[in-house]
Amino acid sequence: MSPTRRDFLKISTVGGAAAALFGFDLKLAYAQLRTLKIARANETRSTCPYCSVSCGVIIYTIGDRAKNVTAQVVHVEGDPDHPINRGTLCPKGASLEQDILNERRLTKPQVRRPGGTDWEEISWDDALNEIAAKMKKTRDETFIEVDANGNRVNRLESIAWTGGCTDTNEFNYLIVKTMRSLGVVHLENQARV
Amino acid sequence: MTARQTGGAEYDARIARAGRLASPHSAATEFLEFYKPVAAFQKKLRANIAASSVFGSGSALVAGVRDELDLTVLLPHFRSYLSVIEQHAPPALAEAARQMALLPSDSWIASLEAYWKHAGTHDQQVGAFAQFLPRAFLQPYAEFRAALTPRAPLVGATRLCPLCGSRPLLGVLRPEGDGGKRFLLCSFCSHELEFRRILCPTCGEEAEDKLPVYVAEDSPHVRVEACDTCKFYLRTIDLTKDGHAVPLVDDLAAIPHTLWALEQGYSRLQPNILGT
Repeated sequence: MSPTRRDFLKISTVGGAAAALFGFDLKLAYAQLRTLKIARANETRSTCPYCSVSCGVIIYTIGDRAKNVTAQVVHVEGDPDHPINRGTLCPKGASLEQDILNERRLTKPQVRRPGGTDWEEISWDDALNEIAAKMKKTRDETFIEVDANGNRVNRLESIAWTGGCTDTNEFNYLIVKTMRSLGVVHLENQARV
Repeated sequence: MTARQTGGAEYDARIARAGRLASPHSAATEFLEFYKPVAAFQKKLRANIAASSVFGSGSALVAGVRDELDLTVLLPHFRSYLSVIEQHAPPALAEAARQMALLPSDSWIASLEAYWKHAGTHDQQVGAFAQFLPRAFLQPYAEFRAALTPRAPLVGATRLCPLCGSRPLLGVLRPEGDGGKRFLLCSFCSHELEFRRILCPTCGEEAEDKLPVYVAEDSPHVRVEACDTCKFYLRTIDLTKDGHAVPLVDDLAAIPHTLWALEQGYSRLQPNILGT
């Protein structure tokens, strides 16, 4: 007797087990499963810090999310969904991974003394103290209270500030407040590069 | 009749890729060896559909992919399809094809029409055999109709195929700039639609820490893009890592990935034609 359509539909299963039901041999697949070295990565959207174009990037980090493990950046690529760059990056952006991982990046302040040929490492406290002392000395010596016509100007032309595109909005706000309070008039930023 | 309508080159690429992957992917050799004659049949069927008097003019269809199932074009090929399956499939599936061949033609029609209606939408409730047989047979027809259906601009992030309404089978990352743009590959008509990265196509989760991507060391172009919120995953073939990959075929070769994802508690949104 020929089977009915109802009989045929009864031979059924759902989803992933179908291959085994068809009669495919999954032994090898299970064996290979044991040797798979699978890493978990997370993709995080971010913005390239180099210039004011603000290209979108996707940063890949790996790690098992354990509390005592710091996730490691393994790859950075352009974000194809970002309306500004549509996945493209300039050479600086394309090497962004190195901004985080390169062993030659500077992580401590350094100073090269007048007449010196080498850079020497100093502590953050010493660096900040030296910068503050030099700024105060320069300001005390060169501050202009009145101009040649006797107008009160209270300005400092011997110190200038230049910022970078990695500076955040909040940081730039503080910079303007600080510099203006010192009388600095020459403020510049390279974020238009 | 254009190359786009016959789809010959696409099928040739799939068959060739299956041949190339069969040897290095020993766990999938049986699957890929079976897929080759199925794809060869699909190629012939697609050419026959394109050459049929109904569609021979090559004019664009007005209706959607799923609106019409012309069994006068398809039915004459169904018996030879079943015999291809019987000849090359593993025993249980071959037996199912043999039994299907014994059924009267109105049962074939009912089976094909039912699957045509529910493909990629409610077919997870359909049995494996009752799903495979019509799916592999109807796919060339769905692909052919999709090739002729005009594309409307997409609004918002739809996760279902705009042409036939089916769930996505795969994600495909294609090179765009210095990254990879994600497309969803329809599980039925193989249409690709743009879809945002870092967004779950099942539940719409956007939190980056809930959307892990798992990649195996020896096959970096196969990604398991999981969602820890809904516990579904999307298999994605990354063409920026392997430009020779053919998503439909590389998916079949990634059986260990399927088993691994199942072990981790993730379900696949839509299995491929071989049920993995």
